[in-house]
Amino acid sequence: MKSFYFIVLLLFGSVLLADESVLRWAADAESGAPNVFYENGDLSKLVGFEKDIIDYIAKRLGRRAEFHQNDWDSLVSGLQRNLYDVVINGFSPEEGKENSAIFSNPYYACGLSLIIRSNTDNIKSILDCSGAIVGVLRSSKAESVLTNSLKDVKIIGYPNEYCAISDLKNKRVDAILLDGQIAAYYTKKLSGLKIIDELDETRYSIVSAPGNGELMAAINGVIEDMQRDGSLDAIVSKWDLHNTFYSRLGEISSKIETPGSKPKSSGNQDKSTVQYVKVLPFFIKAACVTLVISILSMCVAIVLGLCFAIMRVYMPKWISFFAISMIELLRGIPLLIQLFFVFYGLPCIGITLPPLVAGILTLGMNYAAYEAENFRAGMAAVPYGQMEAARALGMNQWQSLRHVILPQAFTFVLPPLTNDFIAILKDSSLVSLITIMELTKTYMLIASNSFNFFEMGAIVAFIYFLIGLPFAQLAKLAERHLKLEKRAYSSRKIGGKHNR
Amino acid sequence: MSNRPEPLISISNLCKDYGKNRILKHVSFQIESGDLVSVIGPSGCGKSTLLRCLNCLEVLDDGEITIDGVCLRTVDHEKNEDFFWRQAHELRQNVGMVFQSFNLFPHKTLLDNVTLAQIVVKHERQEKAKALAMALLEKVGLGNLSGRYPWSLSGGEKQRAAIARALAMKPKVMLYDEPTSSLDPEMVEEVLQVMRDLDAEGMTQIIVTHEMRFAKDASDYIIYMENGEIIEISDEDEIFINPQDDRTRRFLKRYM
Repeated sequence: MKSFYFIVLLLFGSVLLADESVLRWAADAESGAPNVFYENGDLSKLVGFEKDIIDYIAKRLGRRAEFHQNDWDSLVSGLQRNLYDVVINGFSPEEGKENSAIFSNPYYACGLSLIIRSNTDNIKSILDCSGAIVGVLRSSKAESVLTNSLKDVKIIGYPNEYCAISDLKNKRVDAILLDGQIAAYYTKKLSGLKIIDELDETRYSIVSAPGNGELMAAINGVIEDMQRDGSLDAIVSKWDLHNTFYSRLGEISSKIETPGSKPKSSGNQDKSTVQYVKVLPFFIKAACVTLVISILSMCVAIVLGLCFAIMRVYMPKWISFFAISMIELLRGIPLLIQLFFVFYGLPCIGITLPPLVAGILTLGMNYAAYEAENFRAGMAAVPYGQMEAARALGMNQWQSLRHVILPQAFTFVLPPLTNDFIAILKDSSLVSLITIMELTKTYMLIASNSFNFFEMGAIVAFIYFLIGLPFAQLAKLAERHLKLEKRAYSSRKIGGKHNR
Repeated sequence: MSNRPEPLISISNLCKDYGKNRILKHVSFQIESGDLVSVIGPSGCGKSTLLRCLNCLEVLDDGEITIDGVCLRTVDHEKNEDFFWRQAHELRQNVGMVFQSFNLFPHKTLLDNVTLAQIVVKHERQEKAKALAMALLEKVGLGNLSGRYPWSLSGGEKQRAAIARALAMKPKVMLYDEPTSSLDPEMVEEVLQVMRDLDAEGMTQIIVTHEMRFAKDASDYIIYMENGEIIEISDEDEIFINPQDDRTRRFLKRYM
């Protein structure tokens, strides 16, 4: 029941939340330390210095801060789609997004740090990176700096810090260039890495959609106040993020007031403290989301697929042509592109769907193309004489289909249908890219924040397997009921009386 | 042979093409109510196609068919496809069809096979449809097998069930497309007996068959076809004893 409310909330979330008393803010908590992240993979504990800042701002604006998770790549697109009001996630105004977003005054500044493995000795500074492979975050300041300053360096863009760091440890890259405080956090947390060079300055701003000028002015006011009264410094100190670039940013502030709560020293907790029992509720909730998405998508796919198949086989030429075009179109375009088109593209022509609806519709429509072909094959497998017999008895085409052809076709279609359900279960992981917290996304968040990809991966794989299993069994049962009762009956007869 | 001057079935100038091949060439004949007519001829002569045309399973290319006052012409002729299909639907109400391969619905019991069209097409009430179905199954000797599925029956039983299914729609004409061709020899007789019984009740029946003995014994008259044309229509004794046409003679020589 709880998960049901959760789904409803997800479905109607974006409608309900156009509410003045709430400040909807977004960030990517996937390996987002120390900006915004989940403490040791506990999805009920969202922390980070940017979270502290936005909480403070919301409090000052008299609004309740509400967090929205989105992939870093899609954060700004989500603003345009009005999924949330602001983004606070280490964005700097220099990144050429002025047309699509507005930026606040900077609330933090840092340098870019070059990290290498401790045992690397041929790289002493950024200049030694010529000819080397250097990892950066995709579309980050570091990427543009590196592209502009060094000629023959091979740059690899990563979706998040953790991937970059682990590739460095695994010797797939020679060095990585990251924002200073992130580099500091990870080198402290993980052994065998060192920071050797610091260069250039990047300033962090809160981002909002171009229409939100008023809100931005208010936020700028609060940031100024925070700089003046030292509360910004307090947060920065709490997270131990002071550096020369930041000191230069706020000339005014000097006195440091540490708030009541002592900052958590990062790096003293390792994966052994992660309670597997503690992550389980999050996984179960996410599994429910995945299951609901898969079942509803499959329903859409079956209904739509059946329509397409009937249109293709039994309708006049132009309708049949339409069905064929739809089938070819839907199965010819990558699911990911369809997903982004529906979620971020359609709002441009005024159709804005909530994430869950968009995900279910897209998955359902994509699979409808495959189901249509399954149904067509199933109907073709029913002997033509069945249709003739039905028509000869005076049934019209629809009645013949409904009472004679489809019930028989369904028995042929059931095995590939089960197959596709398990496929849709797995493909549903793609909807994590449109802000839905399903199983895969939950895994990525927990794993990247607890540095535990192996065991969490095993858990999530097992959950996927568990969800798929009963459906395979269910299909087997239905199959036996529909068709194989015949075989059971006749095999009983072989041993018994003479075969009639 | 006939007790009514007005023919129940009247076919004139019927033509049917498959692509460039003309399968039926200007076929014309009339059948009166209560007649049992056998259509014989070599394979590919168009006799099955003729039967399928009578039930609108094939669209005719020229000519017209009238069954019990419902007249069917080509789609082109009517200039209105909807009208054609309405006519076809109405015409089918009077015509029952039995296939060589039975075409029983495998996902339904015998009883449901017989009640389905009554309920779906005629909107009969369940009990009424069941009562008629049981009576008809009883009549063809399958009363005790009503709950069985088609796959558990012998060929002869299947074909008798198919006849009961067609009869449930209360047709005025029964068409049989080689009803005994896929049966084991010992089962042929039980199916033919059902047709003899129906003849005795006055049902009009057209049978495409290779059962020359049955055709000879039971038919009121026989149509011999070859190459899409009717070569001879004659009384059963006449055609078997004294065929008028060389082609008929050659054909019968091979069979008798």
